[in-house]
Amino acid sequence: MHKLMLVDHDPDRSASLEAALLAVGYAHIIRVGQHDNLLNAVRTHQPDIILIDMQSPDRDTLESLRNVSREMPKPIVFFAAQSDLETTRAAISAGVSAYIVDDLPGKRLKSVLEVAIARFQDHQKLREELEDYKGRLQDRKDVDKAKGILMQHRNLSEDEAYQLLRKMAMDRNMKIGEAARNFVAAMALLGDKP
Amino acid sequence: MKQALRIGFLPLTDCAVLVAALERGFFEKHGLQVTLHREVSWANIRDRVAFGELDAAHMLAPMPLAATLGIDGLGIPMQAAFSLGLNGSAITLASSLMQAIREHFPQDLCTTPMRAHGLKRLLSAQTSRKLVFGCVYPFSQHHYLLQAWLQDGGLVLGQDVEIRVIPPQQMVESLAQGQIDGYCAGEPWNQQAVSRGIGHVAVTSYDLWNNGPEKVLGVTQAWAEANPKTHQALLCALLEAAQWLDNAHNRLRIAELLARPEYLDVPLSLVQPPLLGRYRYAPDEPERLLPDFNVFTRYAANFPWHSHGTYFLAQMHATGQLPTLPADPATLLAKVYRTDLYRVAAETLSLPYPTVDYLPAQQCMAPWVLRAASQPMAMGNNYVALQCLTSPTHTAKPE
Repeated sequence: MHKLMLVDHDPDRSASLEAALLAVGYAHIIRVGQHDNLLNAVRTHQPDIILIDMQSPDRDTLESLRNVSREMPKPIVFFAAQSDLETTRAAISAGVSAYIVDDLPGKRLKSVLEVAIARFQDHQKLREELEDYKGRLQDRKDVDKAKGILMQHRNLSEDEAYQLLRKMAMDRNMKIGEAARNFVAAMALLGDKP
Repeated sequence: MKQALRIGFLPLTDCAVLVAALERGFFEKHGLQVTLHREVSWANIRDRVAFGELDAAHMLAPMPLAATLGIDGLGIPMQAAFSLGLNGSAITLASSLMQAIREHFPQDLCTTPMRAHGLKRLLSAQTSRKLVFGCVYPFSQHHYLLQAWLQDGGLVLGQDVEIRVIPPQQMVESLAQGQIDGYCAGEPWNQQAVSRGIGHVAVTSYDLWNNGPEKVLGVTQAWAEANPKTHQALLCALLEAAQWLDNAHNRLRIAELLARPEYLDVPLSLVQPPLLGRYRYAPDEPERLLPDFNVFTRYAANFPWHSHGTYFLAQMHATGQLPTLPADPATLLAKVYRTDLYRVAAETLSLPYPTVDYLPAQQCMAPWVLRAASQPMAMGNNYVALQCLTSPTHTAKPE
């Protein structure tokens, strides 16, 4: 069975990738985090495949091992030598890069890569969703603040204040959260602390 | 014509031409909408350019050649028609090492540029010791300069010293933690070690090779063939940005831009002095004047000389990266270092350009004039201090 090494600074993603690889039958997986010494780990474990996060600067270090074969009995080859270019492109765009030893069958590698690409994309989607959620939460807070100011100064009901804010946003072709932030900032400038 | 471009860079002072072209509107002037993307490794730059996620990028000068030769990455052919500048890197030693040389072998510090004999003598005194040096990428001028400097001092690679690849932005931390004894990297990473008191600059790249090659703008051959007009617009924008950078006043302004979080994200005090020609070698020394530490356009700095390519081939071969030299180097270099495209752009802007592809090989220790040009061009010194740079000896170990 081939030995796999995962180099990822994100422990959650690395754990979920490990679980997915275990599920498809890869039993021997070594995880290396951000603060571990990658060179030592590679020398100790001698992995057959290394999957590395493209946001890790360690890629340059890893690649140089190819040129120092007396220290690395197994040559490390950038994966696309045996994989197709489309898979490589998908991997790079998902932010994952792979290195393999010379004699690994291309098919096996492709399956590993497909799992990795899917996990990296899932993770990216999760992060985007989280940011979107955070943004929406912030919007709600700002809208509430703006509504409060409007209610106090113009004696409006909550619903009226909201309608006014919404009209303000539509007239200026803005999102309501953005309009609320601008309004709160302008009121703060005028000396009215919300 | 393709107008929206994504260009990659690594946080180093010599991405200045790209930043100037963006921030001063030279890209816009030539009809381009450019976004700059900061990358974490040279391998990322190479792969993202190879697969079209980036249109072009800040690259180490030998990278397009290594890619085209198929000895780096996937072997997707690349080319460069523009050099982003000359000089700009240095070799830094751990302060403790330099102190030991000062104390025990002061005679080895009597000459400038400093030679590495003191290191060798230190090693001979402590037989069990092996030095570890960091360099930024295997296919880099940094790697070749570092090897030549160590070899000149009598150090034997593998036996006395090991060279490890570490990305530039991690060098200072690796030195601080004692994982390496020294390194060769671009700015601001040498000045940062000096300002923290943990490193001494032994030599700058200018000291070893007056006005030597450094970085280029790399694209794939396929991209260049598919986008000839965009490529020309890009070259024109960069040429104008480089001209803008030649003005001393503008060096102050680029330093402020480079220090920003989206580019280098370091204090202005680290970026500015070298750009103004003031360079600090040691924490306990005053600055030395090095007006040519960063050359962005004068001395035909943007021209992608084939003579530099010839030198890279020799270095790749000598260091064991390239097992056999190509049968027809002239044709290969013409494909990789596109002097023809450079000349078209310079002609468009009515700027002078060399009419020869090979820089005359004489050693000039004073400014001179290149007459083989569309108009005579003022050139700087081109003295090379180390003999092993001009005639490399084979250092690669048999496998």
